[in-house]
Amino acid sequence: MTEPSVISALPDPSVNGAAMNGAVPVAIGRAKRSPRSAASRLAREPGAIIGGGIVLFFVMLALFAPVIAPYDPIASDWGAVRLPPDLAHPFGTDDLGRDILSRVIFGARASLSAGFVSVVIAVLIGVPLGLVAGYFGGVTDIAISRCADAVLACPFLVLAIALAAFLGPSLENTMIAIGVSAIPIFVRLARGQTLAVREEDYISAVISQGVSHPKILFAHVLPNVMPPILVQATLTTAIAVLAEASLAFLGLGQLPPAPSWGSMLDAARQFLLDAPWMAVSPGLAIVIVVIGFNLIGDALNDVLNPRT
Amino acid sequence: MIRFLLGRLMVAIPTLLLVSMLVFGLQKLLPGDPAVALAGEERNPEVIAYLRQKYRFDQPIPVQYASWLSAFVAGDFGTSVRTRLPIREMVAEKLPVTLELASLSMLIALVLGIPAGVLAALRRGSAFDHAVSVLGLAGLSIPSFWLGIMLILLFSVKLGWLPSGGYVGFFADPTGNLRAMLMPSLVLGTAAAAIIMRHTRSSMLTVLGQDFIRTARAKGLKERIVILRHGLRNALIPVVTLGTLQFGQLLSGAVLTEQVFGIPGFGKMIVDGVFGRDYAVVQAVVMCAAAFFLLMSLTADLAYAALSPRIRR
Repeated sequence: MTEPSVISALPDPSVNGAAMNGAVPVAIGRAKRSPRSAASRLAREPGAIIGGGIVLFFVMLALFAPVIAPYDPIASDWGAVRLPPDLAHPFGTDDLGRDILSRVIFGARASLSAGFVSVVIAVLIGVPLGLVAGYFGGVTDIAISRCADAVLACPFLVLAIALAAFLGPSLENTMIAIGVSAIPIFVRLARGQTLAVREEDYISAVISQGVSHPKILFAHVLPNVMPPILVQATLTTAIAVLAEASLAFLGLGQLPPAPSWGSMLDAARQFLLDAPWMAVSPGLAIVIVVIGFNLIGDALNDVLNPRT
Repeated sequence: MIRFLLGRLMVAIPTLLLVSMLVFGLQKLLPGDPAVALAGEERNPEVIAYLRQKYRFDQPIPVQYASWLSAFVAGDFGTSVRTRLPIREMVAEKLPVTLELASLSMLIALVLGIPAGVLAALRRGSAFDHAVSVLGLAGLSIPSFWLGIMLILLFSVKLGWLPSGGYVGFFADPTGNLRAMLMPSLVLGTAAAAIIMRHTRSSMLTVLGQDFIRTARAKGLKERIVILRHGLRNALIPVVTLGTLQFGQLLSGAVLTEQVFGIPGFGKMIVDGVFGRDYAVVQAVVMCAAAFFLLMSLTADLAYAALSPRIRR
């Protein structure tokens, strides 16, 4: 069964602790192991297969939503308001007579794009900052680390809500808010890893050969810090999908009438007595997607950071 | 120990200052005149003029920041444009509600998470271990607000055992208070229990694989003593740190839980603040949450130092 990672699936506590003590106990140098062997070991992890299958399934739903969905997700049918599940509407219809199955299928778009885009934002900004902080040390490190600490001190969701509120509700702003809130996770991780890699003999060797700093950072340090970052990025995607759903549930995400699983649950809350089915399928969709990303993250961690 | 504490404080205070800059900077994201934005929907010219003068919006940004911060440090968090109450009073009223919710959730998380983690580690690879792993994964992956809705459907709508929301103070009606808090704490505690369980299990496995455990066994100590006194005691050190940090994080999770169950706490305050365009409230909540989190991480460091003297150096 999968070992829980030292890098936890929550934004900070363990990352915090790990970074405080220098570095996540990861196998430096083992990253040099050929990517092919890592990929083939990943392909044998049951968690990776199930998680990968789940994520692939939802990516397909999102990409081909117009072809797969039986109805228009935003078209109201006033003759079919709040119908319980039947053959015509397997997940029932909502308070505006829209087909819930079609809305769940289209909702995969908001959910997955928010998950991916916000993590890309966090990685693209956080990793270079962490690399620079860990590699150069000194004042640069202090400045970057203190800023990361400050963002990390604001609870993840509270910060994302505040940012989304100040930016205004929209799917794009949700992605920015979640991405920015997740930056410090990657700053701390990349910094800790870089500190560890820097001590390796081959890095001093490259430095003594007079190779330029940017080249050392990107050609020699980055590849070695990538494995734990890849693990964290996958687990953070799970968090980002949950965060998008949370913001949409609060009314800060995807603007209506476009479907988002979070906002569907918000609407469902008002009809729990007469239309409980409205609350079931969007929630299950979130749970399944998040389990998918967590399974892949755990499996990646087992393969890339073997500790036992 | 005092030097250690001072060292930690020296880091925590600049961090909090940086948070205040971030929170202040958020205000600059608002479109248009900040005094108009802070004054809210009504655009009362008197309020706008008062805010402009109070925060010196016509002055350079560092001056504005300084006057905002000095008011904040003095305990003047501003006035809510929605409720017209001083925000400090609102915080003082709502924080205890959320702290009760967070404490009950933490209690549930510890009671479920630690024994499950220890037993899973002791029976590694067993059916119990697998079941706990699956439950842990589910606990991490279920959105708290959906779990809340499902529990309401089951226990309030179908069975009618528990109220679906609302809040009564503990001292006004202890039973009613606990009945109202039961589902919210369970919802908020689930994710924390999953995290604590996973870390307890992994920490226990690491400790049980170490030399001193082998030594203790070789000395002929009873297995129960080896596991409880030597194993668990050491395995729980990182879990204490994690749990304390987790407690600081529960404020974040409380936002959604309070929204679902209509609990008038700190989390609901930020949501109401966001929708009432009550930006001063949002700023105050973020600052308080960050200060609380830093306090918890200071406590975590102290607990870690107290439990494992190696770190004090």
